[in-house]
Order: sequence, then C-alpha cells, then structure tokens
Amino acid sequence: MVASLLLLLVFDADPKVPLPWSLAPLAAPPLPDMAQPHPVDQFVIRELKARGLELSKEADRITLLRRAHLDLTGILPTLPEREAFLADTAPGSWERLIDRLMASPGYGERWGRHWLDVARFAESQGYERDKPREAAWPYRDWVISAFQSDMSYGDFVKRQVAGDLISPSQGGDVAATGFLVAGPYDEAGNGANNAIVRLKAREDELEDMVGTTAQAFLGLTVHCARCHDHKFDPITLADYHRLKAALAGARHGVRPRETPDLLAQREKSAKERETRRASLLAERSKIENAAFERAKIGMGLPLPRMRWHFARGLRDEVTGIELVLKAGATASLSGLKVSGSGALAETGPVPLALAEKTLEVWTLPANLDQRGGSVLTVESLDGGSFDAIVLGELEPRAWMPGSDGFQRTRPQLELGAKVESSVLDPVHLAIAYSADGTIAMYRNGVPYGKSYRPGNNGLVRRESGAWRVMVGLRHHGSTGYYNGTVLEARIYDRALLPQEVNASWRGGPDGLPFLGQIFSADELKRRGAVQESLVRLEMEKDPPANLVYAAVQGDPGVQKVLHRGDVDKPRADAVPASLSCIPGGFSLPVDAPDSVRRMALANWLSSVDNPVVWRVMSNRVWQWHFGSGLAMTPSDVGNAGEKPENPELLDHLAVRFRDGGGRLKDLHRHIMSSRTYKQSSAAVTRGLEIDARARLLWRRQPGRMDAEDVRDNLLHVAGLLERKAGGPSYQPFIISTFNSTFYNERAEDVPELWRRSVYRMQVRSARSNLLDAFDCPDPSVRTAARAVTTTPAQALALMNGVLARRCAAGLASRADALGMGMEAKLRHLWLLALCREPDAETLQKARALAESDGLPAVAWSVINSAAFTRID
Amino acid sequence: MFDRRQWLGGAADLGAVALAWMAARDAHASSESTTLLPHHTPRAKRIIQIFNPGGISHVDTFDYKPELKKRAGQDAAGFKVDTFFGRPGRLMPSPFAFARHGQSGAWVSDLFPYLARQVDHLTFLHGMVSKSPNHTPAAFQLNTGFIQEGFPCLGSWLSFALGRSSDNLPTFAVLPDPRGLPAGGSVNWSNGFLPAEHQGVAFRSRGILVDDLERPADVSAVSRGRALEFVRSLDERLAQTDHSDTSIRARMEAYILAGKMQASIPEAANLDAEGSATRRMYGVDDPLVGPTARNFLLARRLVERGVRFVQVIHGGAFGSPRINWDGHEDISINHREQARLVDQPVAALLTDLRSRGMMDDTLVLWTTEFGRTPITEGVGAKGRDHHPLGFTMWMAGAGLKPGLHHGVTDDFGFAPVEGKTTLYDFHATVLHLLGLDHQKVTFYHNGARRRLTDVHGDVINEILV
Repeated sequence: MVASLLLLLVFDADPKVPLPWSLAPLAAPPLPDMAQPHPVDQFVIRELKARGLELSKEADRITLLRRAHLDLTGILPTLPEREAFLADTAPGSWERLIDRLMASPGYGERWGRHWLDVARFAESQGYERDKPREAAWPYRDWVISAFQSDMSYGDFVKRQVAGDLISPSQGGDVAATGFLVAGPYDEAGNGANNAIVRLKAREDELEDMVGTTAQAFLGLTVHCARCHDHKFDPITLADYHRLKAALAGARHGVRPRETPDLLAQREKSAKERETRRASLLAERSKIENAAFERAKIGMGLPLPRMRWHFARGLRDEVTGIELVLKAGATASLSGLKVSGSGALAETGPVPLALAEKTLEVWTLPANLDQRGGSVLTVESLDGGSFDAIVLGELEPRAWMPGSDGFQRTRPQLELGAKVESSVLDPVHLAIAYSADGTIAMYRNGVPYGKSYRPGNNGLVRRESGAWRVMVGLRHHGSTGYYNGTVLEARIYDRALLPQEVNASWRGGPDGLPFLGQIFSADELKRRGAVQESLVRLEMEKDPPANLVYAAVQGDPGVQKVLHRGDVDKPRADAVPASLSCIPGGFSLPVDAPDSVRRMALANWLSSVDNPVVWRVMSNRVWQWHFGSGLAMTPSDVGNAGEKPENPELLDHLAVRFRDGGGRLKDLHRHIMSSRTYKQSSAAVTRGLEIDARARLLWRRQPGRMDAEDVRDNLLHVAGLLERKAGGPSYQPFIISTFNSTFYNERAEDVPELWRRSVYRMQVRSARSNLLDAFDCPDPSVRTAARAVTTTPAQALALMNGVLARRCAAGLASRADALGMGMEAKLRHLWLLALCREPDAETLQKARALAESDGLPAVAWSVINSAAFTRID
Repeated sequence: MFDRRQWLGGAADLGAVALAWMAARDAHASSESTTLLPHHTPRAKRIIQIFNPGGISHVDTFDYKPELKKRAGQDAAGFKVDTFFGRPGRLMPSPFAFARHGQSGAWVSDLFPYLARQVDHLTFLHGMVSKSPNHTPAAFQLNTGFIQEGFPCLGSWLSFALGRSSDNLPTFAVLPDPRGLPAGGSVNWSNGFLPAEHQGVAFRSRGILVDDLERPADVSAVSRGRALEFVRSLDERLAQTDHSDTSIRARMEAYILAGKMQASIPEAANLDAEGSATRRMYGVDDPLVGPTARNFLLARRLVERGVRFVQVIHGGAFGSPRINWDGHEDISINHREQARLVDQPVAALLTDLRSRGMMDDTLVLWTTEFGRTPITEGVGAKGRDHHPLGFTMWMAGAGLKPGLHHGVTDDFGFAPVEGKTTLYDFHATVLHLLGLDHQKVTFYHNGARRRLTDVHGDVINEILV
C-alpha cells in the first residue's frame, strides 16, 4: 500500500505538538515468523512470550457457543441451537456457527447498538422541552441494516455525513444523515427572540456535530479546539472552525424519506389526494353556492364553519354548539361582554376536526392598557395547546396570535403593525393559519404584521372532540382575561385569502345572514361531511413512515473563526476544510454550498489514504469482541489517549480491513477464528500476577452482558421476546406534557414492549431503571466504551423489577412444560438460562427450593445469580 | 465467606462485610480520581441543595434596591440588558416591602418572613453570574458546570470523588417538587459520563418511594430469604471457580446492600416518626405548605442517616400555570406564591439542623439558575425577564462566615460591581468545603480530563471561616 504524502494545506499547528501514533501512514506490519497459522495469534503470542506468558487452552464448546451467541447477536442460544451445535462435530463447525450468527437478524441489532452508542443516538430533542423525535428511528434501522448487509465501511462513513447527497432518492441514505443530528436540539434557544441566544444554541449544535463526526470516525477530540488550540494534538482553533464550516450547512430537521418505492407510493397517493381534494372542494362550492344564491349573498364572502353573532345569542349558527357564560360574562344585543378576571364563555369539546383555520372577530376592547387577554381562543381541552387573538401580551396595545409558549407567536409591532390607539369603534381582527405553516394576521381588512412561518409548528392539527372554543381567557391555566365586548366571532376551517378577509371586513358583522337558515339541514350535514373529509385529507399528508429526522440542507453562510469560541468574537473567515494533520485533505471556497462541503468531507473521511479511520474502527471491533480495545480510549487515539497495547496487531487488522473493502464480517471471522479469541477464561496464577486484567490476552477476560442484553435475555429465556424488527420504537413510558415533555417509566407488562432493547425509544430524559442500573449510557453522551459497574440498583432491578419477575415466571413455566418430573424441569431451566446442566449439589438445593417455594422461585434465583449475566 | 444473616439483610449486623465493602469503596474512589481523597480536611460532610428552577428575582428577595423606586418607569439607566424575550421594559421597583433583619441587618423582602429570622446564619452571594439567559442551559450550568446536556451533576461528582456515604441508603438523593418534575426530568440529576452508580436516586412524593425498592407483596420475607440463600450458594460456587474475579464478590455485597436499602429507605422516609413540634415547625400538616415541607423534613432525615447529597427541587417545569419562579407575567403574584410554599420549610430546616448540632458539618445551598431583570418584561408590564448577569444565591453552614454578604450589584441590581462570582467559583467553593480540590477531581472523557469547573473556578476565600 502506498503511504500517501501528507498534504499540508493549511497546517498551522504548533510544530511542537507531535503527530499522534494513529496518524502515521498505515502499512501492513511484517508477520512475526512463528509456527502459528493465525496472524492474530502470532502478534499476541509474541507479546505474551516476551513476558513469559502463553495463551490459555481453548474453552469448552458450550462456553464458546454461549460466547459467540452473546458476542455476535446478544442473545443466548435456544435449546435447538445448542443441540445443533453440539451435534455438528465435523471440521469447520465453529466457522459455520459464526456465519450462521452473522446472517441472523440478531447480528445487526447487536452490532448496530454498539454504533448507536458512538453516534449518541437519541430520539428526543433534549433541553427544556425534550420533545419526542417520532421520526428518528429510520437512522437506527439504517445502522442495523448497514451492519446486517455488511456495507463497506467507507460507504458507511460517507453516507452518515452525506447520504442525502449521494443518493437522494434512496430512502436509507437520507436516513443515514440522522447521524449528524442525533444530538440534542435546544428548541427554546433556537426559537429565542434574543439573537445571541440563538447563535449560541446553533454553535453548541455545531460543536456536537463536529465533535461526534471527528470522534466517531477519526477518534480525534477536535471539539477540544473550539475555544483554543488543542492541548495535545496538532489541531488548531482555526482547524476546528474550518471543519465546522464543512458541516455548517447541516441542520436539524424532519425531511421526507424517499426510497424509490416510497417515492412512487407518495406520488401516487399525493395525486389521489389532490383528486379527492378537488372533488371535495367542488362539492363544497356546489352546496355553498346553492345556499348563497338562495340567500342572495355575494360570492366573495367566505363561509365560516362556526359563527356566533352575539346579538342573536350564544349558539353557533352552523352547528348549534353553545358558548357557556362563566363568572360575570354577559350577553346582550350589544354583544358578548367579558370584563376581566374570571369572566369568559366557553364551549364543550367541539366534535369537528380542525387543521387549517382562520379566527375572526369584531370587538371593542374596554381599554387598551390590559395585558394578555384573548378575544377568541381555540385550545386543547387541558389548555396546554392553543391559538388565540390576544391583546397586549408581548407588546402593549398590540394584537398578536397567542400560542402555547409563544411557539407560533411573533410580536406584531416588530413585523410592522401599528399600536391600537382608540377604543371608539369596534375593530375587526383575523388570523389565518395555512397548511404550509404560514400565519397571517389582519386588522380591519388589511394585513397587520407581516405574515410569518414559525418553524415546523405553524399549524396545529386538532382532532374531533379534543378542543374547545373560548372567549375572554387566553387559555386555561393562564390568567390572561380580556376586558371588552365581542360582537361577532367566526372560525373558518381554512386559511382565508387576503381578499376574502377584506371582503368579510367590508361586509361587517351583519354581512352574513343568520346561517342557521342559509343551509337546509341536509346541506349542513353534507357540508359537514365534506369538511371532515377535507381535514382528514390534510392530516393524511406526510405520514410518519415517510419522514425522517435527519440533516436538512441549509445555507451554511460564511463561517468565521471565533476567538475563544465566542459567537461575539468572529475573526477571519473559516474556509470549509479538512484537518491539516490528516492526508488527502480539502479546502473549499468560503461560500461553497452545503452539498459541496459535506461531499468533500465525506470523501476525505472515508478515503483509503486516511490512516486513522481504519485504525479507529478496527480497534472498536476488537473492543466489542473482547470488552476492551487494543487502544483503551477508542474515541481518542490522539496524544492524550492510551497508546495501543499491541500496535502492530492493530495495524494488521486495520490494513486487512481497509484493503479488504472495509468488510466488518471478514474482520469478525478473522478475529473469531484465532486461538486468542477461543481461549478459556479460567484464571491462571502466573497470568494474574503479571497482567491481572489480561491486557496481553493470556486468557479470555470474563465479562458481563450489556444492559440491553440483560433485558433481552430475560425476555428470551422466558419465551417472551418479540422479534419484530425495525419501525417505530416501542415506548415504555407514559408521556405527559406540560410545556416540557415528561416520560414516566411504565411497567413493561404488555407484549408490545417486549421487543429487543435496541428498539426502545431513546429519550434523553426517559431512563430505565433496569437498563440504567446495568450501565446503559445517557443517550446524550457519546459513549466509546461503557462502564461495567456492580451496584445495589442492579440487585433491586433484578429482585423486584416487574419485568424481571415476569420473566422469572415465564422461565419457570417453560421449564415446567419441557420436563417431566422435577429433576427434568430443573435441568431444562438451567439449559435455557445458563446453557448448562446443574451439578448434583446445585440440583439438590434447587429441588429443595422448588418444593418449598415453587419453580418460579428457582427461576428467580437463577436470573439473579451472577452466572446468568456473566460471559466467559 | 458470607454470613447468612448478613446476606439476608439484617440491617443491624454490618460486621466484616461492611468493612470489606468500605475498603473496596475507598480503593475504588482513589483509583479513579488520580489522588487520594479528600485532598484536605473537609469542613462539611453533607449537602442539601435547594434548587429553585425558573429564576428567582434577586431584587425582590435579598438584594434590596431603593434606587428602583426613585427611578421607577425610567429606561434601563444605560445598562445594556440582553433579555431572553428581547422586550426590555422600564425600571420597576419591587412590589414587596423590604426591612432589615437580624444582627447583621440584612435586607429581606416580606416574601420570606420565616427566612428573615435566619439571616444571621446565612452567607449571601450577591454577585452571582451565569452564562446563559435560557433556562435549561443555565440550569445545566448550575447543576453540572456546563451549559450543554450530558455532563455529570454536582451530586454525581461528589459520589464519584468520595465514594458511597452510606451502607444502606443512596449517596445522592433527589426530592422533586410534588407539583411536578423540572423541565428535562432526570437529566437534572444525570451522572453524565460518570458510571451509572453515581446517578441521583429520585424519591417520589406519592406511591412507591423509589423504583424497584419494595419486595412484591406476593413474596413472603421467608420465601425471599430462602431464594436469596440459594442465589448466594450459586454465586459462592461460581466464585470458587475463579478467585480472581472480584466482581462476583462485589455482586454478592450489592445484594446485601440492596436488602438493607429495602428496610432503611422506608424507615428514613417515615415522617410519622417525627414529633409533632418538628412537624409543625416545617408545616408538614399545613394543607398549603405541607407537600413542600415534607420534602425538606425528608431531606433532613436522609442526611442525618448518611446520605451525602440531597437535592430538593422547589419548582416544576415551565408554562402555565406557573409552578416555578419564572415570573414573566407578574412578579408579585408569582413570587408570592412560590415563596409562601418554601419559606417556612427552609427556615425550619435550618433551625432543625442547628438544634441537632448538624449545621457544623452540613452545607445548605439556596440556588437558582439566574435572577430576573430589574426592568419589566415589556413596557407597562408587571413581570421580569431572565437575568444571568447578576443575581443572588446563599449558602449556610459548615466552614462559612455566617451573616456575611459577599458581592454587591449596582444601584439597580443589573450586575456585580464587586465580588463577581461565577458558578465555577461557587462549585469550587462547595468542593473545597467537602475537602476537595476542584482541579483534582477529574474524570477522563472524550479527550479531556473533565472537571466540574471546566478550566475555571476560584474558591471564594472571603466567605470561609
């Protein structure tokens, strides 16, 4: 392999900072000349010999079977699998086992989970609100299928940075960029009115992207150079901001995920919807026009879905739904009067679905110094989500579209509106909420503030029966009471056009006749049905399966080198560029578009000339097989990280990996066929004395199941594990919202929750007692190597947890069904949970316990014993 | 080998197992954090941190600014206020009446009639500054030192640095507000990248106290005992096959500890065991104050029994109705409501700890993520916006000069003019009082030896005895 020249594009690091070992050119080290057939063993034995140690003997076949199963799939062998392996005594049975396991779906699930740790994959926004990311799971499925299909590692890297650019019509590859945006997203910060707060939030987001990209693929802690040159590695402040510039076009967001199939399907259903929509609209016009004609109303007037003409009463003229007066609200010929604290009028749940809408009123405020009351509100029944016409909340004497947490609100004066100056005449107000999220406010027939689109949240879809209409109070739970008279309130089930609003204003409150008479009962019913269908159609758009939380292309702008990493201190332009310390780099014009930037980055990262990318992944693979890497800090192979124990072995693996097309399965076969891998875990005094943690690999270091595998195997041995693969995550919590989203852990007592843990929704604030106890990491943390602790919390989860107890019962009943007679039942129980038969003494004790406390107590004991979670 | 009685969790009998456990935990603590701990003689052994999410207005509580009255309705006096919602209003005097209290003559508003009688025991930090005007990043900084998600909180760091503090209770307990969890829920007591054992254990105010704590009702103690004995014999046999594997032994110890926790946590949480005078002092049976008061009384019972760090949270998530200090709409209504719930219980906690002689080695921390603007939020409004540029927190207890006021803000309360104190300084001081050098408590993660104080922080020597 040619060691390529170091291309020093913009190398301005302190020359005193040495190049770390991992960045040296990568070439195959010569094999130690020994009588060992396997190269891995040759490198290992050389080191062992130098310290007077040797490899341990091969472990017994049952141990190897259990080890291979847990290693490659995370799931214990079933009884038939065990039988089959023991029966296969022909040469090559071990290799056949490995191939079978790598072909089974458990492989992608287990190894995909490893990668999700590195990628800090999470399915919620984090920060204040921690909203769920319902569409984040396609990235998880993409990772699992990439492992399963043995995608070349170069492609694996490239697609996570630029999959949407490489093959925009390939659904999976769009999902792959979920990698870039799997970190937290500060909704409050990004939506803040304060520009500095927004910039800081974005800068933190970029640090997360840069830091994760650099650590996951390069094992370099580039994020350390956000504020100052890296202390240990040749990475400067400018390097950081250039690499940041390469990613600056990627933004958090939800985008369509278009596999060719899905694309065709989407186009087809979109066409169908359009046809249906057109015919529904035509039908509605027909009904309305007939009514208009009878009533002699001009065609320019839009027809509301609900309408209260308060001089006539409190019933909606179209549906008959009544506004009920509360605490001092009064209705008379002059209108509905609400006068401050406590006074309001509200409906019960409205049995209509509402998506697009327009709120419209004619009102006379009692004074203009009041703050935060609403003339007309539609809100969820708990008051947590609402849209309203609000006076003076953010800006005195100004109207605005009120909304929960101001999510759909913009101060209108800032958008060009004028303050209200007089209370002599009723004022006409309307807010139109369009399907594309645009919100437009009008006063007396003309636009008030400029229309705007508040992110993805412009349109709230309300299900039938899940909302109410209210006059007077901003929303339930607030103290924003309006003081004034409302002459007329209308709610339209579509966003009115400017000319329609104008026409409506010109018509005034009396412009429309009593609508109860305009339609016949039959027309009303038919029109209602049409409207329902239209709203349903609206809601059908972009079903979740077609969406993915992934990188959305944005304008990267001209990025700057930030002095001390501070958004207040921009210095020179930061050209999008690679790290100067790695060969084969790129440097782009400062205004290059996002597509060019990320493509260049993806190619550079995955290049065969990049020595570190192959070393880092080979080291990870070793770590996931053995419990610790050859280099102990797998996401930091810089100067501050640990040097590899056996650098030539690592290079041997890395070269094989790179030159073999980046195939992980080849690496698995290679490693697992070595004597080193197949050693027994038995303690050897001399080994313990010289190398207690077996870093030199004189034995197989015993390990413990990962948290997910503890849970999955509990379910598996109980016969309860649901092997449904892929798709939306299972949610083992009860979700409630109070501005923030809360995830209360629920007992996992129904089969929908008994899937493999890799399919659990990874919510940042929803941790799991069982999984946490067994060191499942906080999803917000990029985890290169999990801790393995031993704590009372583990004991409590296995002793008293609902799932553990349920699984103990399940295990007992399986054993009960399999064996005739107590001894046979107990033997089966041991085989199911531990792959081994109990010895005579254990059997005797187990029998005694079964007699006094039943078989479930025995099963409970076995899953609580150390042997269940231990890996030899 | 293990004694059967210990295995079954006889809470009274610690004996050799406990000694072995403590030896193991000490070894553990020293091996992971570079130096033998503590670094110097600690002044405090335990901490109760009161976390007030939402942002307490300093100028309406402990930082009296008569100038605001004189200049009411005027512009922000030339001070550039970078408010979160970007709607700077006008200077607003506090709607609350201030008076001097105690021998130290500290100004306290009438929000805190009970706490006002404690001022001679408190050490005020009037020059606090935080890095973010955004709730969650600011709360992260208060709790973890960093404004991003994913870092370990103070309680986790202490658990990591000093090891387990109790053999039958958690080392780090969290008592959320009975009205609801704060925004982000468990991320507020996350272990971040530290091992999971350092995560805070959250206590519920209703129902099951702690997850998975209770032996199921359908399993008798005798039956559970027999099964545990069988587990022990299985593990013993496994341990015999590999003497080198300390994890099997550690696991057996963990089961002993778990058994003890099952008994001792409910005992600690049994407030009925308290005398009626104490319950009255906290307000436990008061319909309004009671739910909050219970947490504070529980906090005392926990630290008394060996829990090192208790975080009592007074405030829930954001939104309407307001259940924390985030007084955007009307500072008078909001702060009155929040203060009324917490004033009596906190004062009672201080009195109670003192009368038990525990104040000498206990720290009580009154914390919030930021203050609130001396100007209104929007012209003509009654609320105040977020204000990280200057605010007040206080500490009380071990190793501190009582009655001292450190730091002074300008005449309006915009920013410190002396004694500016960062959260790094605050954390450094807290660690110092626990006998720890904040620069030496480190954990390697993702390329850096991470510290609670990042690369900053100076111990506030002026406030130390």
